[in-house]
Amino acid sequence: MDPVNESANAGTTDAAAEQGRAVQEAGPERVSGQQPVVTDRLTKYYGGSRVVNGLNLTIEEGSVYALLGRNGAGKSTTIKMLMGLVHPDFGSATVLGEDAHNMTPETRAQISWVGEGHPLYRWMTIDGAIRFAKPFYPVWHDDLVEQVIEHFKLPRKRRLYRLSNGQRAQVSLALAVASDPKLLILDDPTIGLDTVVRRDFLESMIQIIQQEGRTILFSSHILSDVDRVADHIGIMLDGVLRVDAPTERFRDALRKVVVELPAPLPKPPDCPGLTSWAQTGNRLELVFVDFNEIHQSYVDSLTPTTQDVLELNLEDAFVEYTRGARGIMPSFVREVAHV
Amino acid sequence: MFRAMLRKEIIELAAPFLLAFAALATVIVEAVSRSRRHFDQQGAWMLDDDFVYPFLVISLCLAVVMGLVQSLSEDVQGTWRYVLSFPGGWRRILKLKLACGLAVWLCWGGVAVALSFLGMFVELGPAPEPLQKLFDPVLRILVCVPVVYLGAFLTALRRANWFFSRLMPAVGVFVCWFILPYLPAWWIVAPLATAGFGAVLIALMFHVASSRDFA
Repeated sequence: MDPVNESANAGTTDAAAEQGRAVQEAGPERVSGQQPVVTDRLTKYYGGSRVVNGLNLTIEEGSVYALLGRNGAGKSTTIKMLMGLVHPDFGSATVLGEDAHNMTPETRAQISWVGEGHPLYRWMTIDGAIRFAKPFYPVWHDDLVEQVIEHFKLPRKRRLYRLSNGQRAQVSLALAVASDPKLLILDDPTIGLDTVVRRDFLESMIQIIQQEGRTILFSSHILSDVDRVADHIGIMLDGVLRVDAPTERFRDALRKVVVELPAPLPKPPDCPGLTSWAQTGNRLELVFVDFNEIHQSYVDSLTPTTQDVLELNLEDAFVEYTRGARGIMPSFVREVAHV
Repeated sequence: MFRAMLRKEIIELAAPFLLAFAALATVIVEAVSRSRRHFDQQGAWMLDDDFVYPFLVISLCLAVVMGLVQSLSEDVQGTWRYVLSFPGGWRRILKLKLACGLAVWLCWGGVAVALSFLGMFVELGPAPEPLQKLFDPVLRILVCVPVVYLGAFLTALRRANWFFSRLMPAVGVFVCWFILPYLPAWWIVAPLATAGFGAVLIALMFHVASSRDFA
Protein backbone atom coordinates (compact mmCIF):
# COMPACT_ATOMS: atom_id res chain seq x y z
CA MET A 1 0.00 0.00 0.00
CA ASP A 2 1.14 3.51 -0.70
CA PRO A 3 2.59 4.71 2.63
CA VAL A 4 1.26 8.19 2.04
CA ASN A 5 -2.29 6.95 1.56
CA GLU A 6 -2.05 4.48 4.40
CA SER A 7 -0.99 7.02 6.98
CA ALA A 8 -3.35 9.61 5.63
CA ASN A 9 -6.35 7.27 5.79
CA ALA A 10 -5.51 6.20 9.30
CA GLY A 11 -5.34 9.81 10.38
CA THR A 12 -8.57 10.88 8.79
CA THR A 13 -10.63 8.00 10.16
CA ASP A 14 -10.20 9.35 13.65
CA ALA A 15 -10.65 12.86 12.36
CA ALA A 16 -13.92 11.88 10.70
CA ALA A 17 -15.17 10.42 13.95
CA GLU A 18 -14.29 13.64 15.73
CA GLN A 19 -15.99 15.76 13.10
CA GLY A 20 -19.07 13.56 13.13
CA ARG A 21 -19.40 14.05 16.82
CA ALA A 22 -18.83 17.73 16.30
CA VAL A 23 -21.64 17.94 13.75
CA GLN A 24 -23.97 15.95 15.95
CA GLU A 25 -23.19 17.93 19.05
CA ALA A 26 -23.41 21.27 17.32
CA GLY A 27 -26.81 20.57 15.79
CA PRO A 28 -29.80 22.43 17.22
CA GLU A 29 -31.77 20.61 19.86
CA ARG A 30 -34.62 18.53 18.53
CA VAL A 31 -38.15 19.40 19.48
CA SER A 32 -39.15 16.74 21.95
CA GLY A 33 -42.16 14.74 20.90
CA GLN A 34 -43.01 11.22 19.86
CA GLN A 35 -40.17 9.35 18.32
CA PRO A 36 -41.29 6.76 15.78
CA VAL A 37 -37.80 5.32 15.43
CA VAL A 38 -35.32 4.86 18.27
CA THR A 39 -32.31 2.59 18.17
CA ASP A 40 -29.97 1.85 21.04
CA ARG A 41 -26.46 0.60 20.24
CA LEU A 42 -27.86 -1.36 17.31
CA THR A 43 -25.16 -3.66 15.99
CA LYS A 44 -25.03 -6.26 13.23
CA TYR A 45 -22.25 -8.54 12.08
CA TYR A 46 -22.10 -10.35 8.75
CA GLY A 47 -19.42 -12.99 9.00
CA GLY A 48 -16.64 -11.30 10.89
CA SER A 49 -17.50 -7.88 9.56
CA ARG A 50 -19.40 -5.38 11.69
CA VAL A 51 -21.74 -3.73 9.18
CA VAL A 52 -23.71 -1.69 11.72
CA ASN A 53 -21.80 -0.57 14.75
CA GLY A 54 -23.54 0.70 17.89
CA LEU A 55 -26.11 2.78 16.06
CA ASN A 56 -27.99 5.27 18.23
CA LEU A 57 -30.61 6.85 16.03
CA THR A 58 -33.68 8.86 16.99
CA ILE A 59 -36.15 10.14 14.45
CA GLU A 60 -38.78 12.67 15.49
CA GLU A 61 -42.39 12.40 14.44
CA GLY A 62 -43.17 14.30 11.25
CA SER A 63 -39.61 14.55 10.09
CA VAL A 64 -38.14 13.42 6.80
CA TYR A 65 -34.89 11.68 7.64
CA ALA A 66 -32.39 10.71 4.96
CA LEU A 67 -29.93 7.99 5.82
CA LEU A 68 -26.85 8.45 3.67
CA GLY A 69 -23.64 6.58 3.17
CA ARG A 70 -21.51 4.90 0.58
CA ASN A 71 -22.15 1.38 -0.63
CA GLY A 72 -21.73 -1.04 2.25
CA ALA A 73 -22.02 1.65 4.90
CA GLY A 74 -24.85 -0.22 6.64
CA LYS A 75 -27.91 1.78 5.54
CA SER A 76 -29.93 -1.09 4.12
CA THR A 77 -29.04 -3.39 6.99
CA THR A 78 -30.20 -0.72 9.43
CA ILE A 79 -33.49 -0.34 7.59
CA LYS A 80 -33.99 -4.11 7.48
CA MET A 81 -33.40 -4.27 11.23
CA LEU A 82 -35.98 -1.53 11.72
CA MET A 83 -38.43 -3.58 9.66
CA GLY A 84 -37.71 -6.69 11.72
CA LEU A 85 -36.33 -8.51 8.70
CA VAL A 86 -32.82 -8.80 10.10
CA HIS A 87 -31.93 -9.69 13.69
CA PRO A 88 -29.53 -7.33 15.45
CA ASP A 89 -26.59 -9.03 17.14
CA PHE A 90 -26.60 -6.43 19.86
CA GLY A 91 -28.73 -3.46 20.88
CA SER A 92 -32.34 -2.78 20.11
CA ALA A 93 -34.59 -0.99 17.65
CA THR A 94 -37.93 0.44 18.67
CA VAL A 95 -40.40 1.39 15.96
CA LEU A 96 -43.65 3.17 16.83
CA GLY A 97 -43.05 2.21 20.44
CA GLU A 98 -42.57 -1.51 19.86
CA ASP A 99 -39.55 -3.74 19.49
CA ALA A 100 -38.86 -3.95 15.76
CA HIS A 101 -38.64 -7.72 15.82
CA ASN A 102 -41.83 -8.35 17.73
CA MET A 103 -44.21 -5.79 16.32
CA THR A 104 -47.91 -6.49 16.59
CA PRO A 105 -49.86 -6.61 13.33
CA GLU A 106 -51.62 -3.40 14.41
CA THR A 107 -48.32 -1.53 14.65
CA ARG A 108 -46.95 -3.08 11.51
CA ALA A 109 -50.07 -1.93 9.67
CA GLN A 110 -48.99 1.65 10.38
CA ILE A 111 -45.67 1.17 8.64
CA SER A 112 -45.08 0.98 4.91
CA TRP A 113 -41.86 -0.14 3.38
CA VAL A 114 -40.47 0.31 -0.10
CA GLY A 115 -37.55 -2.05 -0.55
CA GLU A 116 -34.41 -1.60 -2.57
CA GLY A 117 -35.04 -2.84 -6.11
CA HIS A 118 -38.80 -2.83 -5.45
CA PRO A 119 -39.30 -6.50 -4.59
CA LEU A 120 -42.79 -7.26 -5.83
CA TYR A 121 -44.25 -10.40 -7.37
CA ARG A 122 -43.38 -9.63 -10.94
CA TRP A 123 -45.77 -12.11 -12.48
CA MET A 124 -48.66 -10.09 -11.05
CA THR A 125 -50.38 -7.30 -12.93
CA ILE A 126 -50.59 -3.91 -11.25
CA ASP A 127 -54.22 -4.62 -10.42
CA GLY A 128 -53.21 -8.04 -9.12
CA ALA A 129 -50.51 -6.54 -6.91
CA ILE A 130 -53.08 -4.15 -5.44
CA ARG A 131 -55.60 -6.96 -4.92
CA PHE A 132 -52.90 -9.03 -3.25
CA ALA A 133 -51.66 -6.35 -0.82
CA LYS A 134 -55.02 -4.83 0.12
CA PRO A 135 -56.44 -7.62 2.35
CA PHE A 136 -53.38 -7.53 4.61
CA TYR A 137 -54.14 -4.02 5.85
CA PRO A 138 -57.04 -2.97 8.06
CA VAL A 139 -57.11 0.45 6.39
CA TRP A 140 -56.70 0.80 2.65
CA HIS A 141 -57.35 3.92 0.61
CA ASP A 142 -58.27 2.93 -2.91
CA ASP A 143 -58.48 6.62 -3.79
CA LEU A 144 -54.82 7.18 -2.87
CA VAL A 145 -53.72 4.23 -5.00
CA GLU A 146 -55.93 5.49 -7.79
CA GLN A 147 -54.36 8.95 -7.58
CA VAL A 148 -50.82 7.61 -7.88
CA ILE A 149 -51.75 5.18 -10.68
CA GLU A 150 -53.54 7.93 -12.59
CA HIS A 151 -50.80 10.45 -11.96
CA PHE A 152 -48.12 8.17 -13.39
CA LYS A 153 -50.47 6.77 -16.05
CA LEU A 154 -49.56 3.23 -15.10
CA PRO A 155 -51.04 0.41 -17.23
CA ARG A 156 -53.12 -1.48 -14.67
CA LYS A 157 -53.41 -4.70 -16.65
CA ARG A 158 -49.73 -5.03 -17.42
CA ARG A 159 -47.59 -7.51 -15.53
CA LEU A 160 -44.87 -6.02 -13.34
CA TYR A 161 -42.02 -7.78 -15.16
CA ARG A 162 -43.03 -5.88 -18.29
CA LEU A 163 -42.78 -2.50 -16.55
CA SER A 164 -39.70 -0.31 -16.44
CA ASN A 165 -37.79 0.13 -13.18
CA GLY A 166 -39.34 3.56 -12.82
CA GLN A 167 -42.86 2.22 -13.23
CA ARG A 168 -42.20 -0.51 -10.69
CA ALA A 169 -40.98 2.16 -8.28
CA GLN A 170 -44.22 4.05 -8.87
CA VAL A 171 -46.27 0.92 -8.20
CA SER A 172 -44.30 0.40 -4.97
CA LEU A 173 -45.06 3.94 -3.92
CA ALA A 174 -48.76 3.53 -4.73
CA LEU A 175 -48.91 0.37 -2.63
CA ALA A 176 -46.94 1.99 0.19
CA VAL A 177 -49.19 5.03 0.55
CA ALA A 178 -52.47 3.13 0.28
CA SER A 179 -52.48 2.05 3.91
CA ASP A 180 -51.99 5.68 5.01
CA PRO A 181 -48.96 4.77 7.13
CA LYS A 182 -47.67 6.78 10.06
CA LEU A 183 -44.15 5.75 9.16
CA LEU A 184 -42.93 5.34 5.61
CA ILE A 185 -39.57 3.62 5.20
CA LEU A 186 -37.94 3.67 1.79
CA ASP A 187 -34.71 1.85 1.06
CA ASP A 188 -32.97 3.61 -1.82
CA PRO A 189 -36.26 4.05 -3.68
CA THR A 190 -34.85 6.02 -6.61
CA ILE A 191 -31.87 3.83 -7.39
CA GLY A 192 -31.70 2.97 -11.08
CA LEU A 193 -34.26 5.57 -12.13
CA ASP A 194 -33.57 8.23 -14.73
CA THR A 195 -33.63 11.88 -13.77
CA VAL A 196 -37.16 12.62 -14.95
CA VAL A 197 -38.73 9.59 -13.31
CA ARG A 198 -36.77 10.28 -10.16
CA ARG A 199 -38.04 13.84 -10.09
CA ASP A 200 -41.63 12.65 -10.57
CA PHE A 201 -41.20 10.10 -7.83
CA LEU A 202 -39.86 12.74 -5.46
CA GLU A 203 -42.62 15.21 -6.29
CA SER A 204 -45.11 12.53 -5.32
CA MET A 205 -43.16 11.80 -2.19
CA ILE A 206 -43.22 15.49 -1.28
CA GLN A 207 -47.01 15.49 -1.61
CA ILE A 208 -47.19 12.48 0.65
CA ILE A 209 -44.86 14.13 3.13
CA GLN A 210 -47.16 17.11 3.39
CA GLN A 211 -49.67 14.98 5.26
CA GLU A 212 -49.46 15.97 8.88
CA GLY A 213 -47.69 13.74 11.37
CA ARG A 214 -46.25 11.33 8.84
CA THR A 215 -42.64 10.37 9.36
CA ILE A 216 -40.43 9.30 6.49
CA LEU A 217 -37.12 7.53 6.68
CA PHE A 218 -35.32 6.93 3.44
CA SER A 219 -31.87 5.94 2.33
CA SER A 220 -30.38 7.30 -0.84
CA HIS A 221 -27.24 7.78 -2.85
CA ILE A 222 -28.61 10.75 -4.74
CA LEU A 223 -27.83 13.86 -2.80
CA SER A 224 -29.83 16.25 -4.94
CA ASP A 225 -32.91 14.19 -3.99
CA VAL A 226 -32.03 14.38 -0.35
CA ASP A 227 -31.50 18.12 -0.52
CA ARG A 228 -34.99 18.55 -1.93
CA VAL A 229 -36.94 16.53 0.59
CA ALA A 230 -35.03 15.73 3.78
CA ASP A 231 -35.00 17.95 6.84
CA HIS A 232 -32.54 15.72 8.70
CA ILE A 233 -29.69 13.59 7.49
CA GLY A 234 -27.69 10.81 9.02
CA ILE A 235 -24.42 9.77 7.44
CA MET A 236 -23.10 6.29 8.07
CA LEU A 237 -19.47 5.46 7.53
CA ASP A 238 -18.38 1.85 7.94
CA GLY A 239 -21.45 1.04 9.99
CA VAL A 240 -21.10 4.03 12.32
CA LEU A 241 -23.47 6.99 12.33
CA ARG A 242 -21.01 9.83 11.95
CA VAL A 243 -23.44 12.64 11.27
CA ASP A 244 -26.93 13.17 12.63
CA ALA A 245 -27.98 16.73 11.94
CA PRO A 246 -30.43 18.97 10.11
CA THR A 247 -29.62 19.01 6.42
CA GLU A 248 -28.78 22.70 6.30
CA ARG A 249 -26.59 22.44 9.36
CA PHE A 250 -24.45 19.75 7.74
CA ARG A 251 -24.24 21.59 4.44
CA ASP A 252 -23.20 24.81 6.14
CA ALA A 253 -20.73 23.15 8.49
CA LEU A 254 -18.23 22.04 5.86
CA ARG A 255 -15.79 24.32 4.06
CA LYS A 256 -13.19 23.42 1.51
CA VAL A 257 -9.96 25.38 1.53
CA VAL A 258 -7.88 25.19 -1.64
CA VAL A 259 -4.28 26.31 -1.29
CA GLU A 260 -1.25 26.46 -3.58
CA LEU A 261 1.91 25.53 -1.72
CA PRO A 262 5.51 26.31 -2.60
CA ALA A 263 6.28 22.57 -2.46
CA PRO A 264 4.14 19.41 -2.00
CA LEU A 265 3.72 18.10 1.53
CA PRO A 266 4.14 14.40 2.33
CA LYS A 267 1.09 14.76 4.58
CA PRO A 268 -0.59 17.82 6.07
CA PRO A 269 -0.16 18.10 9.84
CA ASP A 270 -3.10 16.93 11.96
CA CYS A 271 -5.62 19.53 12.99
CA PRO A 272 -8.91 19.25 14.93
CA GLY A 273 -11.74 19.77 12.47
CA LEU A 274 -9.78 18.65 9.41
CA THR A 275 -12.01 16.01 7.82
CA SER A 276 -10.14 15.14 4.66
CA TRP A 277 -7.45 16.35 2.34
CA ALA A 278 -6.31 15.76 -1.20
CA GLN A 279 -3.14 16.84 -2.93
CA THR A 280 -2.32 17.21 -6.61
CA GLY A 281 1.17 18.58 -7.17
CA ASN A 282 1.43 21.80 -5.22
CA ARG A 283 -2.34 22.14 -4.92
CA LEU A 284 -3.75 21.04 -1.58
CA GLU A 285 -7.46 20.78 -0.77
CA LEU A 286 -8.48 20.72 2.88
CA VAL A 287 -12.00 20.12 4.18
CA PHE A 288 -12.90 21.47 7.62
CA VAL A 289 -15.93 21.15 9.83
CA ASP A 290 -17.01 24.50 11.33
CA PHE A 291 -14.22 26.49 9.73
CA ASN A 292 -12.93 29.08 12.22
CA GLU A 293 -9.91 31.16 13.21
CA ILE A 294 -7.97 28.14 14.42
CA HIS A 295 -8.36 26.51 11.03
CA GLN A 296 -7.40 29.77 9.30
CA SER A 297 -4.21 29.94 11.39
CA TYR A 298 -3.51 26.30 10.48
CA VAL A 299 -3.87 27.12 6.78
CA ASP A 300 -1.66 30.20 7.15
CA SER A 301 1.00 28.06 8.84
CA LEU A 302 1.33 26.09 5.62
CA THR A 303 2.58 29.31 3.96
CA PRO A 304 0.38 29.01 0.88
CA THR A 305 0.95 31.24 -2.13
CA THR A 306 -2.81 31.42 -2.76
CA GLN A 307 -5.86 30.25 -0.84
CA ASP A 308 -9.62 30.03 -1.45
CA VAL A 309 -12.32 29.14 1.07
CA LEU A 310 -15.24 27.48 -0.73
CA GLU A 311 -18.78 26.68 0.41
CA LEU A 312 -20.06 23.26 -0.56
CA ASN A 313 -23.42 22.05 -1.72
CA LEU A 314 -24.84 18.96 -0.03
CA GLU A 315 -23.46 16.56 -2.60
CA ASP A 316 -19.97 18.01 -2.44
CA ALA A 317 -20.14 18.14 1.34
CA PHE A 318 -21.17 14.49 1.47
CA VAL A 319 -18.44 13.43 -0.95
CA GLU A 320 -15.76 15.35 0.86
CA TYR A 321 -16.93 14.06 4.21
CA THR A 322 -17.15 10.41 3.26
CA ARG A 323 -14.22 10.13 0.88
CA GLY A 324 -11.46 10.63 3.41
CA ALA A 325 -7.90 11.44 2.39
CA ARG A 326 -6.85 10.73 -1.17
CA GLY A 327 -3.26 11.89 -0.98
CA ILE A 328 -1.66 11.77 -4.39
CA MET A 329 -3.01 9.12 -6.74
CA PRO A 330 -0.28 7.19 -8.63
CA SER A 331 -1.41 8.41 -12.07
CA PHE A 332 -1.24 11.96 -10.87
CA VAL A 333 2.27 11.34 -9.60
CA ARG A 334 3.35 10.30 -13.10
CA GLU A 335 1.57 13.28 -14.57
CA VAL A 336 3.35 15.59 -12.19
CA ALA A 337 6.67 13.89 -12.91
CA HIS A 338 6.25 14.46 -16.68
CA VAL A 339 5.45 18.09 -16.14
CA MET B 1 -55.64 -12.08 3.65
CA PHE B 2 -56.01 -15.86 3.54
CA ARG B 3 -57.67 -15.75 0.14
CA ALA B 4 -55.08 -13.37 -1.29
CA MET B 5 -52.24 -15.58 -0.11
CA LEU B 6 -54.04 -18.74 -1.25
CA ARG B 7 -54.60 -17.28 -4.71
CA LYS B 8 -50.95 -16.28 -5.01
CA GLU B 9 -49.65 -19.65 -3.87
CA ILE B 10 -51.99 -21.59 -6.15
CA ILE B 11 -50.96 -19.52 -9.15
CA GLU B 12 -47.28 -20.08 -8.34
CA LEU B 13 -47.81 -23.83 -7.87
CA ALA B 14 -50.01 -24.23 -10.93
CA ALA B 15 -47.18 -24.79 -13.41
CA PRO B 16 -45.48 -27.71 -11.59
CA PHE B 17 -48.89 -29.17 -10.74
CA LEU B 18 -50.03 -29.15 -14.37
CA LEU B 19 -46.73 -30.59 -15.54
CA ALA B 20 -47.07 -33.41 -13.02
CA PHE B 21 -50.67 -33.93 -14.09
CA ALA B 22 -49.65 -34.23 -17.74
CA ALA B 23 -46.86 -36.64 -16.87
CA LEU B 24 -49.16 -38.84 -14.77
CA ALA B 25 -51.84 -38.86 -17.48
CA THR B 26 -49.23 -39.98 -20.00
CA VAL B 27 -48.02 -42.75 -17.69
CA ILE B 28 -51.59 -44.03 -17.12
CA VAL B 29 -52.49 -43.92 -20.81
CA GLU B 30 -49.34 -45.85 -21.59
CA ALA B 31 -50.00 -48.38 -18.80
CA VAL B 32 -53.59 -48.98 -19.92
CA SER B 33 -52.65 -49.39 -23.58
CA ARG B 34 -49.84 -51.80 -22.66
CA SER B 35 -52.20 -53.77 -20.45
CA ARG B 36 -54.71 -54.04 -23.31
CA ARG B 37 -52.05 -55.48 -25.58
CA HIS B 38 -51.46 -58.27 -23.05
CA PHE B 39 -54.84 -59.68 -22.07
CA ASP B 40 -53.44 -61.79 -19.24
CA GLN B 41 -52.20 -58.56 -17.59
CA GLN B 42 -55.56 -56.79 -17.58
CA GLY B 43 -56.27 -54.84 -14.41
CA ALA B 44 -52.88 -55.56 -12.95
CA TRP B 45 -51.09 -52.47 -14.23
CA MET B 46 -51.67 -50.50 -11.05
CA LEU B 47 -49.57 -53.01 -9.16
CA ASP B 48 -46.97 -53.02 -11.89
CA ASP B 49 -43.59 -51.35 -11.36
CA ASP B 50 -44.00 -49.66 -14.76
CA PHE B 51 -46.78 -47.60 -13.20
CA VAL B 52 -45.76 -47.43 -9.54
CA TYR B 53 -42.22 -46.15 -10.06
CA PRO B 54 -43.13 -43.41 -12.56
CA PHE B 55 -45.92 -42.32 -10.24
CA LEU B 56 -43.52 -42.28 -7.30
CA VAL B 57 -40.93 -40.29 -9.25
CA ILE B 58 -43.54 -37.79 -10.48
CA SER B 59 -44.89 -37.37 -6.96
CA LEU B 60 -41.43 -36.92 -5.47
CA CYS B 61 -40.50 -34.36 -8.13
CA LEU B 62 -43.73 -32.47 -7.58
CA ALA B 63 -43.18 -32.46 -3.81
CA VAL B 64 -39.62 -31.15 -4.13
CA VAL B 65 -40.55 -28.51 -6.71
CA MET B 66 -43.52 -27.34 -4.63
CA GLY B 67 -41.30 -26.91 -1.56
CA LEU B 68 -38.69 -25.02 -3.53
CA VAL B 69 -41.21 -22.83 -5.35
CA GLN B 70 -42.84 -21.80 -2.10
CA SER B 71 -39.62 -20.97 -0.33
CA LEU B 72 -36.61 -20.59 -2.61
CA SER B 73 -38.46 -18.51 -5.20
CA GLU B 74 -39.27 -15.95 -2.48
CA ASP B 75 -35.56 -15.71 -1.72
CA VAL B 76 -34.59 -15.49 -5.37
CA GLN B 77 -37.17 -12.79 -6.16
CA GLY B 78 -36.38 -10.98 -2.89
CA THR B 79 -40.08 -11.10 -2.04
CA TRP B 80 -39.73 -12.58 1.45
CA ARG B 81 -38.91 -9.04 2.54
CA TYR B 82 -41.98 -7.70 0.79
CA VAL B 83 -44.47 -10.20 2.10
CA LEU B 84 -42.98 -10.13 5.60
CA SER B 85 -43.32 -6.35 5.72
CA PHE B 86 -47.10 -6.85 5.69
CA PRO B 87 -48.98 -6.71 8.98
CA GLY B 88 -49.66 -10.46 9.03
CA GLY B 89 -46.28 -11.37 10.50
CA TRP B 90 -44.03 -14.22 9.46
CA ARG B 91 -45.80 -16.90 11.51
CA ARG B 92 -49.09 -16.37 9.76
CA ILE B 93 -47.43 -16.13 6.34
CA LEU B 94 -45.58 -19.40 6.94
CA LYS B 95 -48.73 -21.15 8.19
CA LEU B 96 -50.63 -19.97 5.14
CA LYS B 97 -47.91 -21.19 2.81
CA LEU B 98 -47.83 -24.62 4.42
CA ALA B 99 -51.61 -24.86 4.43
CA CYS B 100 -51.67 -23.97 0.73
CA GLY B 101 -48.91 -26.47 -0.06
CA LEU B 102 -50.65 -29.30 1.78
CA ALA B 103 -53.97 -28.36 0.16
CA VAL B 104 -52.34 -28.57 -3.27
CA TRP B 105 -50.89 -31.95 -2.28
CA LEU B 106 -54.39 -33.17 -1.34
CA CYS B 107 -55.57 -31.99 -4.76
CA TRP B 108 -52.72 -33.94 -6.31
CA GLY B 109 -53.87 -37.00 -4.36
CA GLY B 110 -57.40 -36.50 -5.62
CA VAL B 111 -56.21 -36.09 -9.17
CA ALA B 112 -53.98 -39.16 -8.93
CA VAL B 113 -56.78 -41.33 -7.52
CA ALA B 114 -59.28 -40.00 -10.07
CA LEU B 115 -56.93 -40.58 -13.00
CA SER B 116 -56.10 -44.07 -11.78
CA PHE B 117 -59.77 -44.88 -11.31
CA LEU B 118 -60.52 -43.51 -14.76
CA GLY B 119 -57.77 -45.71 -16.21
CA MET B 120 -59.20 -48.75 -14.47
CA PHE B 121 -62.70 -47.89 -15.60
CA VAL B 122 -61.62 -47.48 -19.22
CA GLU B 123 -59.84 -50.81 -19.10
CA LEU B 124 -62.22 -52.99 -17.13
CA GLY B 125 -65.58 -51.26 -17.38
CA PRO B 126 -67.90 -50.62 -14.43
CA ALA B 127 -66.81 -53.63 -12.37
CA PRO B 128 -63.25 -53.06 -11.28
CA GLU B 129 -61.40 -55.18 -8.77
CA PRO B 130 -61.67 -54.13 -5.14
CA LEU B 131 -60.47 -50.50 -4.89
CA GLN B 132 -58.34 -51.07 -1.80
CA LYS B 133 -56.13 -53.50 -3.64
CA LEU B 134 -55.91 -51.37 -6.78
CA PHE B 135 -55.16 -48.10 -5.08
CA ASP B 136 -52.81 -49.53 -2.52
CA PRO B 137 -49.55 -48.31 -4.15
CA VAL B 138 -51.03 -44.92 -5.02
CA LEU B 139 -52.19 -44.33 -1.48
CA ARG B 140 -48.89 -45.47 0.00
CA ILE B 141 -47.05 -42.91 -2.07
CA LEU B 142 -49.54 -40.12 -1.43
CA VAL B 143 -49.33 -40.65 2.32
CA CYS B 144 -45.55 -40.86 2.50
CA VAL B 145 -44.30 -38.20 0.10
CA PRO B 146 -45.50 -35.02 1.95
CA VAL B 147 -42.40 -35.23 4.17
CA VAL B 148 -40.36 -34.68 1.02
CA TYR B 149 -42.35 -31.49 0.33
CA LEU B 150 -41.72 -30.30 3.88
CA GLY B 151 -38.06 -31.25 3.64
CA ALA B 152 -37.64 -29.32 0.40
CA PHE B 153 -39.37 -26.29 1.92
CA LEU B 154 -37.12 -26.41 4.97
CA THR B 155 -34.01 -26.85 2.86
CA ALA B 156 -34.77 -23.73 0.87
CA LEU B 157 -35.77 -21.78 3.95
CA ARG B 158 -32.66 -22.73 5.85
CA ARG B 159 -29.43 -20.94 5.06
CA ALA B 160 -26.45 -23.13 4.26
CA ASN B 161 -24.69 -22.76 7.58
CA TRP B 162 -26.39 -25.86 9.00
CA PHE B 163 -25.62 -28.50 6.46
CA PHE B 164 -27.79 -31.25 7.92
CA SER B 165 -30.95 -29.37 7.01
CA ARG B 166 -29.77 -29.33 3.41
CA LEU B 167 -30.08 -33.10 3.48
CA MET B 168 -33.65 -33.11 4.73
CA PRO B 169 -35.21 -33.92 1.35
CA ALA B 170 -32.77 -36.77 0.89
CA VAL B 171 -33.75 -38.10 4.32
CA GLY B 172 -37.40 -37.68 3.38
CA VAL B 173 -36.92 -39.50 0.09
CA PHE B 174 -35.04 -42.28 1.83
CA VAL B 175 -37.75 -42.71 4.42
CA CYS B 176 -40.51 -42.66 1.83
CA TRP B 177 -38.94 -44.78 -0.79
CA PHE B 178 -37.24 -47.44 1.26
CA ILE B 179 -39.03 -47.63 4.55
CA LEU B 180 -42.51 -46.26 4.99
CA PRO B 181 -44.39 -47.89 2.08
CA TYR B 182 -42.99 -51.30 2.91
CA LEU B 183 -43.67 -51.37 6.61
CA PRO B 184 -46.09 -54.03 7.86
CA ALA B 185 -49.54 -52.57 8.53
CA TRP B 186 -48.38 -49.50 6.60
CA TRP B 187 -51.84 -47.92 6.63
CA ILE B 188 -51.36 -47.31 10.36
CA VAL B 189 -47.61 -46.91 10.67
CA ALA B 190 -46.93 -44.80 7.58
CA PRO B 191 -49.46 -42.04 8.33
CA LEU B 192 -48.28 -41.87 11.92
CA ALA B 193 -44.63 -41.77 10.92
CA THR B 194 -45.34 -39.18 8.23
CA ALA B 195 -47.27 -37.05 10.70
CA GLY B 196 -44.51 -37.32 13.31
CA PHE B 197 -41.68 -36.58 10.90
CA GLY B 198 -43.75 -33.81 9.30
CA ALA B 199 -44.38 -32.22 12.69
CA VAL B 200 -40.65 -32.19 13.39
CA LEU B 201 -39.96 -30.58 10.02
CA ILE B 202 -42.65 -27.94 10.57
CA ALA B 203 -41.27 -27.15 14.03
CA LEU B 204 -37.80 -26.77 12.48
CA MET B 205 -39.23 -24.46 9.82
CA PHE B 206 -40.70 -22.16 12.45
CA HIS B 207 -37.46 -22.21 14.38
CA VAL B 208 -35.47 -21.39 11.24
CA ALA B 209 -37.86 -18.62 10.18
CA SER B 210 -37.72 -17.03 13.63
CA SER B 211 -33.94 -17.00 13.71
CA ARG B 212 -32.86 -16.30 10.13
CA ASP B 213 -32.40 -12.93 8.49
CA PHE B 214 -34.59 -12.09 5.51
CA ALA B 215 -32.03 -9.74 4.02
